[in-house]
Amino acid sequence: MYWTNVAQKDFADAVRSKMFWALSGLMLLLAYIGLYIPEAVGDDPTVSDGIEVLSGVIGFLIPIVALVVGYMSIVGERETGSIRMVLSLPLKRWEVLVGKLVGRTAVIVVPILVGFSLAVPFALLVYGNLPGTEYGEFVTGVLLIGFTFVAIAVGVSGAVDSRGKALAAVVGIYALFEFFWSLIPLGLFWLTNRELPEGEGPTWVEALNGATPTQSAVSASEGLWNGISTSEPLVLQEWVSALLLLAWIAVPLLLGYLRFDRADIS
Amino acid sequence: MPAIETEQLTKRYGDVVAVESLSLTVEEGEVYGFLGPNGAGKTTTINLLLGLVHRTSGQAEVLGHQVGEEIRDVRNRIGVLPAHSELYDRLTARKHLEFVTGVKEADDDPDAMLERVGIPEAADRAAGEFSTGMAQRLKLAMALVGQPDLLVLDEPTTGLDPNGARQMRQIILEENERGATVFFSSHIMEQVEAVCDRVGVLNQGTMVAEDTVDGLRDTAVGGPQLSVELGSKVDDAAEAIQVLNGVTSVSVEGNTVSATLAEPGVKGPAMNAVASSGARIVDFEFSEESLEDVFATLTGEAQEVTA
Repeated sequence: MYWTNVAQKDFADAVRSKMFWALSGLMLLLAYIGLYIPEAVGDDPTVSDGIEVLSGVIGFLIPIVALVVGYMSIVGERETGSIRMVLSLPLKRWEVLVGKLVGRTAVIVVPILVGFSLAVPFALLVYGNLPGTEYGEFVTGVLLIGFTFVAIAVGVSGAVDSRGKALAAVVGIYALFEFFWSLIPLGLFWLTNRELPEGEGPTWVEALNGATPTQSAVSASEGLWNGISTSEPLVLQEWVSALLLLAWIAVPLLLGYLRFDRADIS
Repeated sequence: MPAIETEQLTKRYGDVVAVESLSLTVEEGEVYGFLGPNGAGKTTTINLLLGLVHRTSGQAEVLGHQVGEEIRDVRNRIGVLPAHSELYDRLTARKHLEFVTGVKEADDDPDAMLERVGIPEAADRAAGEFSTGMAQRLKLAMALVGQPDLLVLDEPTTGLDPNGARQMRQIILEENERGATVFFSSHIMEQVEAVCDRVGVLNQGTMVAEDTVDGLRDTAVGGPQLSVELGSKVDDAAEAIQVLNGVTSVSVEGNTVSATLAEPGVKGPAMNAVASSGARIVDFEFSEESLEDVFATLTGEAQEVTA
């Protein structure tokens, strides 16, 4: 288990950074504010409204945070040259990649768990109750989104040879998934039908819309906590999302590894 | 079995040749100095030996294995001090050493190692606060973890003051006495002179000389030089010097007679010979070429010659 040394070192390094603590503070603040908004503005608010507000914000925020946490993981060490020391040790390159993935995952998972655990007593105080399944599903979704985007960022970081390229890639990836993705099914629909779909459109448009890492994570978490919606068409069932999510994690890591393994580290 | 052996090792980046047809052998138990000006390809060669950079062609074996094979075993037996490699700013010296000891499954005591390299007080300080000298000492300590059979040190004296450089050489010799083979690169000849059994000189990606320190000195320049500027009878003086014992070669250029001597002691008889030939001596110069000059000659670097 040589990669555990890399993961430990990476996490130890991160815990000493301001970013890690800023992140923990942000998670906590976000959870408190998000949960409190319905109470502050609505009449007859419930804790579910609070979780819904949180879900909206988190869907945009966690991918950014995770990409930022991960994009320098390997290429950063190439820029400072410390990777030359690491790769002179009895470590294979995949072990460095896995160690980085685990270390950076911890960097994002720990603040999420701390923040949303500390939010539990707060929610109970404000609303008097907190449905376990709903909150569990929400936090699981957040963790899955975080992990997936960390994996994407680590893959990118292994694939490129400069900070600039890594940054450009993660900005592009974020923009694609958060802003432009919905244009893909629309575009495809228009190409085949010469008109735009009404409502959610046919099943394949709906399925493609929900195929982003974030939507896949949310749906996979739903399946984990509430079971599979077997009445839905096959491609809209949660296990498909779970498989897609695995692909979103594995493919970037694999591509990143292949490029990193072939790279000249000079 | 040699500790390092390369044959026709070549690395090209597109059209640029970084290392060309390099063949070198580092025998087990020796201290090998790898010399060359900055940009000669020393670091690229080391990167090739460590498998950081993939070779274009040729062969490279380290500790009996092709580079890239059995890397767990091979790298467990190598200690590396890389050049152009920063430390982790936020981690303490102790954490750095714990990381290396952890990966190598060694049981070295971080405090003892820091004591040895002369920075015991830095154990719990973050590396970001270190001076370049301290950083270099920590990197040396990291290279020494696990009593490696082969030490690869890339410009180890960078950033060290003269005292630090001396301590570095001391440790290199101690490690060599323990049985370790040491391969270290430098662009400064005198670093190498004091500790190396053999020296390889690299220039523009090719090996221009490989010999013992003494052998290098002899073959490259042939010996100390005496040149005498004369007012008259230049040829007579040249003839008079030429027949002397201990004069290796003589050349005449304008009014100046230059002689290469077998040893510095010949300069007295040589001057006497010139004087007795009846030539009028205008000026003379004697220079014993240092290893620096040898290096400069080999690598074509313009350098001021010290008289």
